Amino acid sequence: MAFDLTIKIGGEGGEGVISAGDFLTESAARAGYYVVNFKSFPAEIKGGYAQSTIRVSNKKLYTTGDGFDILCCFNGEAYEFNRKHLRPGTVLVYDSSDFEPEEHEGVVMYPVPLSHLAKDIMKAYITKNVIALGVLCGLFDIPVQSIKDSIKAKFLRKGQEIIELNYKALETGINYVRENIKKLDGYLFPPAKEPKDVVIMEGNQAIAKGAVVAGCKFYAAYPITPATTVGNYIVEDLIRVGGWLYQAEDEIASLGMALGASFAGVKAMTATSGPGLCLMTEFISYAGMTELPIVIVDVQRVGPATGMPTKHEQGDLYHAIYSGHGEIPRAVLAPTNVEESFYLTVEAFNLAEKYQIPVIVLTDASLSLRAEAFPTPKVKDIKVINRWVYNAEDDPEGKFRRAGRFLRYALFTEDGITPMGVPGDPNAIHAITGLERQENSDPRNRPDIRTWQMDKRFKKMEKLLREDAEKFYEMDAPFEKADIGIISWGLTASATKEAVERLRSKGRKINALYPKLLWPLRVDILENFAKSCRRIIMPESNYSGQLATVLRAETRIRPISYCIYRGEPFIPREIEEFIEYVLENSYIEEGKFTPANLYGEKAYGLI
Amino acid sequence: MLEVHLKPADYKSDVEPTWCSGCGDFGVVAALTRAYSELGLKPENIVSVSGIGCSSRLPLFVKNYSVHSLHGRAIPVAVGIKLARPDLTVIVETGDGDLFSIGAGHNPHAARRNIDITVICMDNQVYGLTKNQVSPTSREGLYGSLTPYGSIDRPVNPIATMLSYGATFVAQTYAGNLKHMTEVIKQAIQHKGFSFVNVISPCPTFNKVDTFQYYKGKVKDINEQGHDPSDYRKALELAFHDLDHYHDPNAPVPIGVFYKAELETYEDRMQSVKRRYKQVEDVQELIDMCKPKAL
Ligand SMILES: Cc1ncc(C[n+]2csc(CCOP(=O)(O)OP(=O)(O)O)c2C)c(N)n1
Ligand code: SF4
Repeated sequence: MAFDLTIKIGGEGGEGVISAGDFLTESAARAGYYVVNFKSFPAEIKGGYAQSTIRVSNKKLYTTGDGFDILCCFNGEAYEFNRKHLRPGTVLVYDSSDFEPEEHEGVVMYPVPLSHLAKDIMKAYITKNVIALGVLCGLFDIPVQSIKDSIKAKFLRKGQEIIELNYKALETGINYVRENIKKLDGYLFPPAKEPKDVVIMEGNQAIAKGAVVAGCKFYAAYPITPATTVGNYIVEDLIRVGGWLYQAEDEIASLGMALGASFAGVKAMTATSGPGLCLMTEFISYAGMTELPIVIVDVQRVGPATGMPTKHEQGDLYHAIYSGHGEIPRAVLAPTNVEESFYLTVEAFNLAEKYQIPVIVLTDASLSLRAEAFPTPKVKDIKVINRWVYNAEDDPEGKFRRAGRFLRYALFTEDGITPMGVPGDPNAIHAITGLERQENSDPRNRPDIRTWQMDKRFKKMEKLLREDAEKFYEMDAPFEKADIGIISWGLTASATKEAVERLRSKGRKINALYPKLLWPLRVDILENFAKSCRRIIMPESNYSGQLATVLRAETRIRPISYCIYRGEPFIPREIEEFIEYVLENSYIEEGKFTPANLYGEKAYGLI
Repeated sequence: MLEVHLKPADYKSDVEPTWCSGCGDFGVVAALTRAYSELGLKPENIVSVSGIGCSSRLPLFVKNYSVHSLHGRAIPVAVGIKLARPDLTVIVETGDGDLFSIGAGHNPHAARRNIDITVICMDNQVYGLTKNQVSPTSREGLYGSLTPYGSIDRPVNPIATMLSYGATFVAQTYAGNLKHMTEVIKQAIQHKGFSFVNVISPCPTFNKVDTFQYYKGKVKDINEQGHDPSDYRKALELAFHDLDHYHDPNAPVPIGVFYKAELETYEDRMQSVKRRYKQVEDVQELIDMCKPKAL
C-alpha cells in the first residue's frame, strides 16, 4: 500500500516545535520509512513563528510535497499562518487551551488542551511538545516504540529522570486521545518495517561530513546565515581527524587562509553565503591564476545585498560562474538534495585537487536546513583524489626543473596540469604570484607568454569536460520525442522530479535533465537532450532565469523560463501546473514566465 | 642550531629586483638573506608571503617558497600556511599601505592571537607602486598625486598600533643600517609568537621628504640607550614618541626592540585543544554518528 503523509507542526519559536519535528524524523527513519524534514524558524533568536514539516513515506521522497495532510498548531499564530491551506481532507490538531479555530469545510478538527495538559497534569510546560507527539501517535498509529527510542537517545546524557518525564508526557498525549477523541479521519501509519541502514543529516551537515571524507584538514570560517552551520558541524570532526577550523576576521581572510593552507599542502575549504562570496571574489580570481586547489561552498540566500538571510533563492549562479576579474578556469557544482550535498562535496575536492582550480558548491538556505534519511555512505567505497605533488624521483630527467628552478607553471604538459611543490621539499622551491609569469614563476608581460599561460590554464577545463563532466548529468529521458523537456538544478530539481512523476502517470510525455555540474558545460549533452524534446522548460528560483540565460549564451537551446523569487522553494504542484499550462498553450516557444502569468497578480505565497 | 651553512647570496633568487636604484627595499633583501644565513635556515622550510606594492615584490627575489598574494592580504595567507604547517618559518613582507590601509583589518587578529609569524613592513611613508599617493604612515603636508594640496590626514603610529594589538615582539629598524636590520630581523624570526618589524625604508623616487639624508642623523638605538624590551609600559611610552620628529626637527627616531614577551602561541593552544579530543581511526565513525541513535 502506498503510504505518503505530511505532518506540519507550527508554534512559537522555543516551544519545542523543531525538536518535536526532529523526534518524528528520527523515529520515522528508525522505523524504516523514507523521511524528509524541513524546518524554518524566525530570524529572531527567541519567539516568532517556527515550523517543522515532516513527510514520511514508504517510497523514495524528493520534497516535503505540496502542503500538509496533518497540521498540528501549538498556538493561534500557527493557525493564522496556515489556515488558508486547510483544504478538505486535511486534519487540524490544535491546542484548545490557547485558541478556538473557525469551521473549515471538510477539515477534521481535533481539539486537545495541550497547554493545560502540560501545565496542570504534567506540571512541566516544557513537555508540551512531547505531549503533542503522544497525541499524534494516538491518532495516527505512529510507532510509539521508535519515538521512545528517540527520546531516550536524545536525553541519555540528561539522566533517567528526564527520560521518564518525557515518556510520561508521551503517555499523557496517547491516553488523552484514547479517552477523549473519536477518530474521524483515515490517516494511519502502516506497521513499522525492518529498519534500513540509514543516516539522517541536514544539508549543511552533509557538506561538512563530505569534506572530512574527502580529506579536508583546514576550514576557515566567518559566520553568515545560512552557511554558519557547515562550520558548526565540521569543527569537532576536523579536530578528530587532525585538522583545524579557524574563525577568521572576515570572508576575504577566510578564503586567503584556506588558500594559504592549500599552498602549504593541505586540503582546505571555506563556506559562505552571497555577501561573503562577493568579498571573496578577488581571491577566487587569484586561486584560478595561481592554480591552487580550493573548495568554496556558497549556501545561497535571497539577495541582493543583505536580502532575506534565512530564505531560499538560486540567485548566485552568475556570480559563481562569472565572478572575478579576468577569466579563470573553475567548476561549479550544485546538489539537488541532502544525499548529493554529501557526495558532491567529495567530488568538489576531487575536481579541485585534480585540476588545481577553485570549485564552488552552490546550495541554498532551504537545502541547508532540510534533513533527509539516506543510505549510510561507505567511506572505503568513496573515491578520493589527492593532488599531484612533485617528487624528484619520478622526474629523473629533471623536466620540471630548469636552471635549478622548479617549473610550477610548465607549459609542456598535454593537459595543462603540472605538479605542485610543497614547502619542505628542497627540489620544488618556487613562487606563486597573481602576476602573469613564465614557466618558472618569473613575472612577465610578454604577449606570447601571456597567451601560452592562458591556454595552459584553460586546457584543464577541456580535460575536465572530457573525463569528468558526464557523470554530473542526471538524465531521465524515456521518450524518443517528448512534448516537454525540463532542465532544472539545485533544490528546484527535487520538486521537478516529483512533478514529472505525476505528469507521466497522467500520460504526459516529459523528459528531464538534472545537471549537477553547472560550469563548465557539456554543450553536446545539453543540446542532444534538447533535440529529444519539442520544447524546453526551466523552472528556477530567481528573477532572471540564470541557468536559462547561461544556456542561451552557451548553447542553441531556447528555453521557456519559469521564475519564482519570493524566498520559498517551488512546490511540485506549481511546476506541474506550469507544464500543463505550456502544454495547453502551444504558441509558447520561449521566454520568461512567472506565477502571475498563470494565476494572476496575487500569486505569491503558495506554500 | 644551524640547519645548513649557506651564504646570504645563496638565498637570493635569480629574479632581478625591479626596484628603482637607491630604493630602501634592496637593503631589506640584504638583511633578510643575511639573517637566513646566520640562522642557518633551510630555504625549503621558509615561506615568504607578501601583498601588492613595490615592497611586496620582495618574496620573488628571495630563494624560499614564496607567495605573492593580493593587495593587503598577505597576513591571512600567511596564517593559513602557518596553521596548516606549524613546522614552517613564515615571514610576511609588506608595505605601509598594504599593511595599514587595505590590510588593516587583518593584523590586529593575527597579533592578538599570537600566531607565530614574522611581519616585516617596509615603511616608505608613501605608495610607491601606484606612483606617489599618500599612505597611512605619510606625514601631514606630504604631497601626492591625489593630494596636490598636501596631506591633511594624521598618520598612524605603526609601533604603538601593533603594541596595542598585542604583538609579542615589536621592533623598528632602518634600511640605512644593514647590521641593525639583520640583528632585529634575526630576533624577530627566532621569536616564538607574532613579531612585527617596521623598517624605515625610504623611497627616493616619490618621497622627497623622508629620505636617507633625513633619517641619517636622527635614528637612535633605544636598546643601546638602555631600554629593556620586557617593559611593556615603557615600550608604549617610547612608541608614542616615534613620530615626534614630524613636528620637532630635533627629535630622535627610535629604532630597536621596543617589546618582547614569551607567551603561549596560537599554535601551542591549538595543540592543547587537539589533545583534548580523541582522534578517529576511521572516518567511517564520523558518518555512523549520524545513524538514528543506536540504543
Ligand atoms: C585591490 C587593489 N587595490 C589597489 C591596488 C593598487 N595598488 C597596488 S600597490 C598599492 C599601494 C602600495 O603601497 P605600499 O603598500 O605602501 O607599498 P610600496 O609600493 O610603497 O612599497 C596599491 C594601492 C591593487 N593592486 N589592488
Ligand atoms: S617607487 Fe619607491 S618604493 Fe618603489 S621601487 Fe622605486 S624607490 Fe622603491
